[in-house]
Amino acid sequence: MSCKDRIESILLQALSETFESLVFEEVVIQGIVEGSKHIDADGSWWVNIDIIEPFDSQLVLVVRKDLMIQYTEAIFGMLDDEMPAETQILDNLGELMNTFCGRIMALMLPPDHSFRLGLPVAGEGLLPTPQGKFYTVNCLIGDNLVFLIVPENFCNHDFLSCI
Amino acid sequence: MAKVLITDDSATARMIIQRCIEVLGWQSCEFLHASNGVEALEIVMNQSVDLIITDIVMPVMDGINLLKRIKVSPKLNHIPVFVISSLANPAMEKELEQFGVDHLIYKPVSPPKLLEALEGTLGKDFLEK
Repeated sequence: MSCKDRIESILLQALSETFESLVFEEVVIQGIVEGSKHIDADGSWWVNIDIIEPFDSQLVLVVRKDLMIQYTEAIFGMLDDEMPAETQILDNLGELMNTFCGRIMALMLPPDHSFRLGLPVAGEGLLPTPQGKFYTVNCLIGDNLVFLIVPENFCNHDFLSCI
Repeated sequence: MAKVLITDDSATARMIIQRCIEVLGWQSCEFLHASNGVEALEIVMNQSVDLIITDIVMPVMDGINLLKRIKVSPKLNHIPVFVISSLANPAMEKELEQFGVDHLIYKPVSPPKLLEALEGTLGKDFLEK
């Protein structure tokens, strides 16, 4: 398995474990592209988590607003006429990202290796894209596209150096 | 009816844990929610609780300090404490064991993981009481 295949495999496993557990949706990776020009930031919320140890990096997840509303309604068991508050939706997005980042770090690192993450920061509008070269992983979750922004230094860590 | 106290600063995370327990067929549990360790302590000082499930990273008082306070208190140390975390850290795991954690569960929480913790630590009859 090449390094590119391996990072795709790890990302897919972490995304699948997260989304299948929390929102009962299957995940398919549609492709990895450089940059983020194709993302519609206006109709989406984003969430950023800094990776603090064992290396400095960050991951950004971008999810369409209507999809996050749908996920939040499902988790809180809301009825048709109920609408989640924005704080609930952003809390949900933060929890999704926190869980995903925990899984991906656990999958990337040896079992006895520590890691530390920053707190999730969610928002809308201009995406908090990393400095330098970065990639966007286009993920099909159920029938919906969700984007994961991954800096090159994350991909270059350890065995992922040949992507 | 068993009382389960879920402590997490994320309302979403608290709801996911509650739903997982409900999915296991224990809808008759009474669920209490706290958003940090101080709120959780206030609850357990004022009413009996059968199980505490807590996150680690929380404002005001984190899950490790909540665990310590529970396990050093002769009045409270009989309450099982499950800690839920997204962080893998061998030093933290040792610290949790040292302070008497009953079970450590890594996120994402799922009904099978909770079932294993509940049955393994507390026995199959716990939530049927």
